Amino acid sequence: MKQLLNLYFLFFKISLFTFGGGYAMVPLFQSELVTKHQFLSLDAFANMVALAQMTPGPIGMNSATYIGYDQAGVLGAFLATLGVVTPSLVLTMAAAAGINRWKNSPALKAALSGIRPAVLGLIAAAVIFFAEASVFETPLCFLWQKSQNFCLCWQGIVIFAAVIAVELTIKPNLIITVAGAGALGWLLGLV
Amino acid sequence: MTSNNPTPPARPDDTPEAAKPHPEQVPLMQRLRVLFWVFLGISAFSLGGGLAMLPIMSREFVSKRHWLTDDDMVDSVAVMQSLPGIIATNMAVLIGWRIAGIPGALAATAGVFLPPFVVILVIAALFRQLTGNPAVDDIFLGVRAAICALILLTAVKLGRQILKGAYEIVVAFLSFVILAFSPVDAIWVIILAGLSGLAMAIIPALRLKKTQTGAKTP
Repeated sequence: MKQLLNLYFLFFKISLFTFGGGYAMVPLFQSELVTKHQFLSLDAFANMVALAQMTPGPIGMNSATYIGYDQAGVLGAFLATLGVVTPSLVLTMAAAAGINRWKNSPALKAALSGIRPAVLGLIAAAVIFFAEASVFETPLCFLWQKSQNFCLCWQGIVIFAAVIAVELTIKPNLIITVAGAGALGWLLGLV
Repeated sequence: MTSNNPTPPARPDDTPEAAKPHPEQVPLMQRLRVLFWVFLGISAFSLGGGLAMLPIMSREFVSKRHWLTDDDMVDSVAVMQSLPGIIATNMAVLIGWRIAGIPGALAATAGVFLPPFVVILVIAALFRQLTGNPAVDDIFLGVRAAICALILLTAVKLGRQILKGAYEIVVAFLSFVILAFSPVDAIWVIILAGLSGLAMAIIPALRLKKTQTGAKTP
């Protein structure tokens, strides 16, 4: 019971501090789920986000359902997802009720003028995190901790470059890009 | 995967030139049903979510049913972007609330909630058995590399919009460094950034400095 409530409030908290949705959530999830609560390892976390990206639905909700299920079964999945939804439900309805006052509030505008660039920083940090889990085979901080070997994963680099090239030129549907990258990963793995 | 394909809510009820938005004329239950199915479809088919859902919403609620105007959509996006939470749910609550009050918000949210919930439950059960399989690991390596590239592109696009002055660059850079290379909680970065925004607005001296440094630093 306590575990279920904890799950609910954990995801409530993450959702409450997510601005801009999607990828901005990755560092929040990482600090709460991996660093603080140690629900899963870094690798498992990266795979979880990959799975959330590959499956239908918003990344945040997919991740909540997955972690909730992993920790406490179907009920855990339900409460974790509910936790993600609750702040939206309450705050958005409150804002919708006073939509004009909300839109023009100077304090809100000021706070957001700081939060927006921070969200950009969050997303950039998510790039590093995923680079560490694909292009590099080690966390980047090992670069200056000389004790560790630093290695690059060539398959990751090839796929990364291919996706950038495809996205800048053909811009296919995201499903196709992600599925293609998965297939390429499998093919390169055979080499 | 599962059979949650939304039956497309395609009752062609677009009487041309239906008078401006009057969703009240449609029975509540029908509005709730449409909200539920449209948002279920949006949630089921938006991989990664985000603003990709906007065209679908505007087709369903503005051009097809005349329940909202384009201005309503623009307003909703502006409010939604200033609220925390998942974009799809925020949008569901806002649009649902406008079309059918609190029941509408709940119906639309339920629509967003259901597809990920069902699909992930099915996959999560399978997923744990799949990891460790070398082929699956290779596929996931590919997907992680793709996500890395996709997030990078998102960051570049956002950066072009957001990084207008020295203040924005400093905040973005500091948050990035703190998050990527220190164990500080992401939540604290958001809180501090919000406070710094407030401080910039409240303290005129800071604002003065901002314009100066903005002029000086490249």
